[in-house]
Amino acid sequence: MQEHAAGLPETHGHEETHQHEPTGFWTKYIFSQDHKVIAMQYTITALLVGVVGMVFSWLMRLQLAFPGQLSLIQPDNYLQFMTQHGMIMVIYLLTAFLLGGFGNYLIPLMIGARDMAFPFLNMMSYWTYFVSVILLFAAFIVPGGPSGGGWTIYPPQSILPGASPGSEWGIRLLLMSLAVFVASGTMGGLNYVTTVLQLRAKGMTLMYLPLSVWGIFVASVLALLAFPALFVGGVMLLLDSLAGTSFFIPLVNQFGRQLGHEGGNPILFQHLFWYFGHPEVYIVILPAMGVVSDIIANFSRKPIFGYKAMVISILAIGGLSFLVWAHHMFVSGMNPYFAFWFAIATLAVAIPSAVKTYNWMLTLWGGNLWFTTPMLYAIGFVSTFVAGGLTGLYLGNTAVDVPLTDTYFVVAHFHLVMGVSAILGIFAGIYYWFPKAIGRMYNETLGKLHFWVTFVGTYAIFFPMYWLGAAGMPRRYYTNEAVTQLPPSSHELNIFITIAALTVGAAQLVFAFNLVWSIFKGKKAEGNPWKATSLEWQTPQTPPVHGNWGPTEPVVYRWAYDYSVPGASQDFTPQNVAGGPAQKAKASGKTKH
Amino acid sequence: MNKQEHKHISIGTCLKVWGFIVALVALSYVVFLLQIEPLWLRRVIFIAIALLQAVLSVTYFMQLRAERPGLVYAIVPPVSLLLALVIFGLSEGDYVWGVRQTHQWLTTGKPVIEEPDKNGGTTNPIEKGMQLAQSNGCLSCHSVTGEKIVGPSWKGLYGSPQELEGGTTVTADEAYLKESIVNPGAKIVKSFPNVMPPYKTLNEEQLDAIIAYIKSLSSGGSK
Amino acid sequence: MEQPQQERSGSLRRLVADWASDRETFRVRWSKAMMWIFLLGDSFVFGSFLSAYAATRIAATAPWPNTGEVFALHVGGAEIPLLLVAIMTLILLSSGATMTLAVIYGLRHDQKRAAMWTGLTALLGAIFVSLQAVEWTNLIREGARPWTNPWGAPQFGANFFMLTGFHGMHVTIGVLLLSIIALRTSRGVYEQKRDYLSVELVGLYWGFVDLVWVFLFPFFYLF
Repeated sequence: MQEHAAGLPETHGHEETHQHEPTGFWTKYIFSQDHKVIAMQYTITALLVGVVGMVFSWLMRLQLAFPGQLSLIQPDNYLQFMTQHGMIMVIYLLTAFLLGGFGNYLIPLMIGARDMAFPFLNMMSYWTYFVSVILLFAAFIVPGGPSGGGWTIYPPQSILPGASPGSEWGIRLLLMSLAVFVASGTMGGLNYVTTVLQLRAKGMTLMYLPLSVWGIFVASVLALLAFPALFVGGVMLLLDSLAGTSFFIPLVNQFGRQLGHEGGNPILFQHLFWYFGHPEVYIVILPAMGVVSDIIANFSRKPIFGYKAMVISILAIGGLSFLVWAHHMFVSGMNPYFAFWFAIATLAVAIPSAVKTYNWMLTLWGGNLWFTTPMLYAIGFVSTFVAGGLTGLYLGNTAVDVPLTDTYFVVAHFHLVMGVSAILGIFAGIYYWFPKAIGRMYNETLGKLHFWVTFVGTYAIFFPMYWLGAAGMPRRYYTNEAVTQLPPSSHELNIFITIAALTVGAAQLVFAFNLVWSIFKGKKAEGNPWKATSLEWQTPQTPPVHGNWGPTEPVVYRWAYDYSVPGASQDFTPQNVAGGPAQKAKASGKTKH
Repeated sequence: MNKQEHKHISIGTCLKVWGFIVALVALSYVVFLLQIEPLWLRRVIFIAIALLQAVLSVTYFMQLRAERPGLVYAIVPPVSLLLALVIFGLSEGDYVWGVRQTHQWLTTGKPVIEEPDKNGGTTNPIEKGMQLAQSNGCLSCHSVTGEKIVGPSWKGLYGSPQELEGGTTVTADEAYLKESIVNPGAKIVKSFPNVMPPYKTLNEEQLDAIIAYIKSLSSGGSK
Repeated sequence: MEQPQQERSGSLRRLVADWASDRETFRVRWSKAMMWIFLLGDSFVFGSFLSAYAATRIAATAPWPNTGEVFALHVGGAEIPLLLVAIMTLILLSSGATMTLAVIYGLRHDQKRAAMWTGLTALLGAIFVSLQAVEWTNLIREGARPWTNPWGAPQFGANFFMLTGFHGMHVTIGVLLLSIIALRTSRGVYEQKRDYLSVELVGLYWGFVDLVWVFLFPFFYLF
């Protein structure tokens, strides 16, 4: 190892050339290269885009509860709302928020770095994301409107003229937007992965990292390896649409006229899409899992139960995510022998997921629980993750999946397990780090009100969907009039769900008000209001300034979960405190000989 | 400078590897030129050569061997897994091809996907007409069994009298059929809607082939 | 020096040590780590392309064209199959070797030779792109389009333009980077910093571009 230390010409932090804090408005707030400002930009943009996605979901719910009552919602519009709701929520809100927002803010602070490895690339990543958002919304003003081909944009219907709304310019703009998003995600992902691997503080080994960083790190790796498939599928679909190639479009007769395509393979697009799409699900859930682990440990005042098992589970979920994609395609007509393998791999995901769930429960067990808003959200996350995840076992079994495919059962499953859970994780993280990022406390009463309405409300929305789906209510239908097997009472349930959805939507106003009010009028926060151990709470200033650490970089002596160590002077020991009793002996793999 | 530096490859190694890679390219080209049979053997040779070149190129040109194992083991396994992805694509495509073959065989009794033949398809006009009728979508509206779908069935059509909108009657001869393909709206058979699009892209030879096929479906036509 | 046995266990120990260390996992410069990770991601782009190519080719309903005839070159009245592509392959893979030489000289702080070999690599890359342009022109003149071609399955043209287009784009970007870096090397920018990292980085990128062609050549042209 010594030879190696000599092999590196510079010491740590050598490649930093951006020590000088920018002073102008443009370089400080708009084209900033500071990871904290970029994180805020990502956060705000993603939340605003998410509001649009939420409004679309209300419009869909209004149509389902009161079919045909609103002239605004025609069948074409319904499909467009549905498509854009899915795309916006999964990609432009959840992925951007969890990687771009949390990733940017937390990675450097939690690992003890002064900034990301490549601040300029980081800035480019945000602005590329911004362009992709503009392209996404540009689809709303082109002829035909945005795509209505379903969020999975399966060909042929997504690009054949007249087969779905927006199948000409709407889908092309969407595909371009996705390609640009992939570029942004790649730039961001490279930064996150390199930063976690190369810029850690002295003493910070990988096994001392807080689980938030582990979650974001593995999610970034998944993003780097999964986005390419979306990019390739998108490019090929774009070529089919613009250049008339036949990658995905077989011989099609439309109204007696043969289109100029021949011999394409539509199932190939589904493979490419889900080869990206399944890891994408874990890209949004892994960071949320990490955030929740940290919050639960902190507010239980206990070390996280089974840290190593948690890390191995994160890695296992990440690895498995590339082996399960075709379980989205059991009815697509692919080779039936694939179903066997993909069903088994899918069920195997339950093992690491269960390990994580047990570990959260065992961390809570016997803890000195402190029910703040972030803690409530973290527990809510565990609850919805279980309620949504268990039905994944139903859907992962081919025989059970076939009748449930494209029903509301699936809708309930993925909304609970990756939509609601990820959002609850995001809220937990926002409330948890708000005092550090802003320097003021949020209003706890409003926060709890927001939590209870959102938590109970999302269950009221999505749990009945299991029953609707089991009763045979198909997804993506504008109206269920023709679905004769549905009992009339299902319509009442639909009205109930819509009312719940609107209520949850209204509760988000409380959240918005709480944020805005607290930014200006909130109580001044201390540097470490939650008495937490991880490095981001140990910055000399709150909120942290450019460069994060003042003149000396922190040195890490212990893992991030030294809570309630017997014999310690207080019930938490920050990572950068040397000596004293520790829960976990220093890792056996010594690094310096 | 130190051991790290030592592991970078020398100029001599670089030149040797260069020569080796050039030889491998030449070898794969020669194998291609000789068209070594069987095909699978040729392909196995190509893949083996490619893998060897890839290993050489990564180890020496990208100098992965100079890196520490921590980096090597992070890069090599995922990239190698890409080959599995290509094999997956192959098996999926193969399955789709099989489904198409079976479907074609069930509906027409003939495999649609002919073995690659260098003249680009059959020379028998009836056979060719059948393929054209399939690929142009004629058969989705015109049955060959006498069943009425959207347009008149082709079974027994050739040479039979057709009552038109407006009361007149024509015999379905070659001229009439040709006109009805290129300009279907000119003469509409009674009780059928005027929905057929004009097929103006077909050339004379193709039209003759389709008409030959229609003739073959009728007892009055040439067998 | 150590015995081979110890060397091997030493490699494993260093692997563990790298991943268990604080500060840095890959003991390389940040940008080099990033370049490796980027290439890992980019290899998945080409892996997906190749997998999609495999699936579309094997499932195509029309026969796949004979690449030997399609890419034949007329030399003195005879048609030599794939000659142009074989020459392109030799040029591109040789440019991998010249780039390696540039990197070696860069590590030795031999400014003049590093600049020369980098420049030569850029030149070879430019020749490759030009030959590819010739190939595209030939094919387009003979009627190949992304949506159709005179020889068989339309997926042939689509895959050809997409795969070689994407690879060609990578080569073009590489040629631009190489030219810039050759120019900067010859001006002594890196000599002044005593740091030829940029040459190493573009060397990695160029090695990757080579690597992609190592697989494109057999899978698309020879198969």
